[in-house]
Amino acid sequence: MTFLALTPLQVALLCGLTTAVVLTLFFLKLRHPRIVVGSLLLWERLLQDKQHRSLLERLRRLLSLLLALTIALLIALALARPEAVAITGEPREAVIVLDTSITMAARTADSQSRWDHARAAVARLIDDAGGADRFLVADTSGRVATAMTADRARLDAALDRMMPSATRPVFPQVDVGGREVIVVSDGIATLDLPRNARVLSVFELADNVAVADFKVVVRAGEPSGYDVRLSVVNHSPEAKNVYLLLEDDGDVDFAETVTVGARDTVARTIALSGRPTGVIRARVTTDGDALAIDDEAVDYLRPPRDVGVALVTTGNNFLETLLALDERVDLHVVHPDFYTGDESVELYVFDEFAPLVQPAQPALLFRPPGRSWLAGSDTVSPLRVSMTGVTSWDETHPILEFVSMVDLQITDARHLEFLTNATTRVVASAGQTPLIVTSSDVPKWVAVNFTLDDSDFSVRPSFPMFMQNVLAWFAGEALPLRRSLGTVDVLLADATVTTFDGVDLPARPRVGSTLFEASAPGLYVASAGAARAYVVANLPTGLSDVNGVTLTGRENLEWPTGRWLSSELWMYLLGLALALVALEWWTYHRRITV
Amino acid sequence: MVTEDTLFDGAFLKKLEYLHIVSKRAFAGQFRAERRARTRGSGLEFADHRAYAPGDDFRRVDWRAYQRLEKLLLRLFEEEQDLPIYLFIDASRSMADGRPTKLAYACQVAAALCYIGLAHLDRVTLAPYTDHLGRELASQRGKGQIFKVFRFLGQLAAGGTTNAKEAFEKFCRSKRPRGIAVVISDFLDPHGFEAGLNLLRFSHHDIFALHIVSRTDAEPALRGELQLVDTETGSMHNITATPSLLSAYQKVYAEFCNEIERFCARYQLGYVRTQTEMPFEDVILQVFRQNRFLT
Repeated sequence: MTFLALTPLQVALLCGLTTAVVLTLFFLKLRHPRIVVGSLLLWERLLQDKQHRSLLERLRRLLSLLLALTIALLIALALARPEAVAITGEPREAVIVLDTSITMAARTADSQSRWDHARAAVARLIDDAGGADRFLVADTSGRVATAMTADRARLDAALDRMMPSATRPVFPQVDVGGREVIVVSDGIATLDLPRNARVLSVFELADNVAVADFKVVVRAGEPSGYDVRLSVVNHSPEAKNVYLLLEDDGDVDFAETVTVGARDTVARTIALSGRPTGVIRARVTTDGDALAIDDEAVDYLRPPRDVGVALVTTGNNFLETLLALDERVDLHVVHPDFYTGDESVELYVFDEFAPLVQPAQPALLFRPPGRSWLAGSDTVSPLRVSMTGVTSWDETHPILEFVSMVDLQITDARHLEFLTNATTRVVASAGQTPLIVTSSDVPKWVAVNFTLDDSDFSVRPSFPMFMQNVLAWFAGEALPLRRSLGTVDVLLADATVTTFDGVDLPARPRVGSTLFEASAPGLYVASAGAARAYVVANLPTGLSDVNGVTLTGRENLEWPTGRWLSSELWMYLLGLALALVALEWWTYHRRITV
Repeated sequence: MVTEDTLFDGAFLKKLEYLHIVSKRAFAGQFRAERRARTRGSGLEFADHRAYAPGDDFRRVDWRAYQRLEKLLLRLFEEEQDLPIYLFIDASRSMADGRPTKLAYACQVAAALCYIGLAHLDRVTLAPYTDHLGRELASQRGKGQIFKVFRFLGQLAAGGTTNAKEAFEKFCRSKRPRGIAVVISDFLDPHGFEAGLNLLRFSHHDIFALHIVSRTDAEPALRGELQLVDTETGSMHNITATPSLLSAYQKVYAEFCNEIERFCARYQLGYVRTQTEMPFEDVILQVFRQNRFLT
């Protein structure tokens, strides 16, 4: 027998001390009240008769002491957490990975969910294991992972924290070593499993119809018109009649029932009437749908706001035309020679020009010369370099949201050295040459270190989006960020996050950004002072195929038997001590031990 | 303090005067009294005739018989003598138990018996005892001595251990005239009640055992974990008083009483058991008469 909590010497000392204490207490028990009687003659005769009737009755006097001693020693031994291999078997270790992909939330025929079945299966595995067996439980969302432990309470607590989420599942980064690995999954997620992993499958065929894609786009050739592109996929083994519903700020814009074949997709482009703003929501409804979270998707159209723009240029027809076409822009074209800096506009666009003093309004600069307010760019002589393309860019920056820089051709750019810090950032570069630099200090500025003539940026579809993004970023109203459900990172420091309906959500601040959990499709608003960010969160494409099994496994896994006891030995010792306490109580009240 | 006032009222005393202590045997007394003796003497009650012999008191010649029979016959009368009555009162500490105490009750009964004896000119001796014979109140005769008896009884206090054998040995060695020996005790004698009674029996006394029982002896009101202390010896014993144990004790006590009763019946000793809760008048007037100790 070995002891997990104490050394054998400590156990021996503890037992000796316990025995001494019990014996002392037993013999120092409370003195009985004294009663004076005429004579003990008859009492002695009676008690002698009772006590000497048999050997058992003589021993009975010691029963109370023996019981007390046994109880105390059992408790002392339990504290030492003994382990007897002959009884509890060799302790084993296993890593249990629960698949927390969103398909695990699919409802099963018994009105539970695959997740419920997975939890029950894991609970069975742990309950069937020996008391000294240790487990590490982890999920595939990377949120929960315990240490290797035999503490069932810790394991239960970890399991309670797990739940299916829209995060893309990955096998957790835990030290598997040579341990047994059990993956409890519906087999939908593609996981990079260790070779020795065994899969416990909770898969059950289910019906599911989902919004596969949902997007509100500007109608081609009609900047003020919007179309909705909606794809509905049927993952069920049978064709389904699906009711489509499109709502614009609560008003039904479109409703239709379509039949979607088994494992087929139906796409619709729906023209939105008028000038829709706010939350655009798509819903699909069908009978027997097993997964609800993918039945809805949202998008957001920011309400338009007029903005006065001063374009300071010696002549750039492309920029003039682009800005003039934007209904929201009230454009003023100013020659650099006539620039005063006090034009009544909300922002400036400088084309190959930069004033010596930073204007009071935000500024977008195309290939600016070196200026001190442009973060020390005047300390280095401007260089002309020949470029072939953008090598890196920050897609998460608001001005590059949905702006593709792939294959962007730049023939010439000015190499300016910028002193970057927390507010001044290079968001796109070609090698060591900064191409787009932003400063979030008020007033903000964006420097594009090449002209539109020296690149094909202006003829790319992403350029109007870039201009929209820049104007929105300057106005403090970023375009809605499109994110997947799960943990969302918003580039606003110390922001508070609410749902679009104004319900506060818990948020975790990070350096320069804020994290929050988007658990359901919808629009979330992050606010930090005057700045706001809108986040449209939808289920990522491809996560809702509840029948797309990639992993197969057994429906039942049994923990190897060979143990007499399913829990640690100390629990049984404590149980036995409790039983003896009950026995002592019973014998006392029956006057057997007194 | 036992006094006449506290013990007896006038009516009760009147009743006592009509009572006699009954002896199963006739004993030789010293003085003339109201009891017939074996000897013929100068009593009032005619017993028999016998032939005159020279030297006889011719005043007792029955002249009427001489007229009829022409024989000198002498009239014989039964001699009436006093009876020695020894009242042994157990004054050990165990007699201080009960309400009233067994000793007080014993004193009351003893006083009543004394009065009866004195009223009939018997010689009454009071002999308290513990593990030895205490100071006696030597033979008293006549009702006038009753106050001395009361004073004596009033000064009795419980104390010491019980050893009747030791006490009665001393009594028997002192060559007392044989008479009625009344032993008033709870008989809780660690050395056994038999030895003491046997000593008196072997000394040819007419023995009467009056067993005083208190409720605390017979039905102790105990409950729970207790340490019992013997009031005489100071020895202790731990018990857990449960209904079953108390029931067992009551059986043992009843068996103890039966033992005494059987012993007395076996050797034709008078035996009366009385509880301290019983009015002692009832004991005198009813129980003793039923047991033919008094007539």
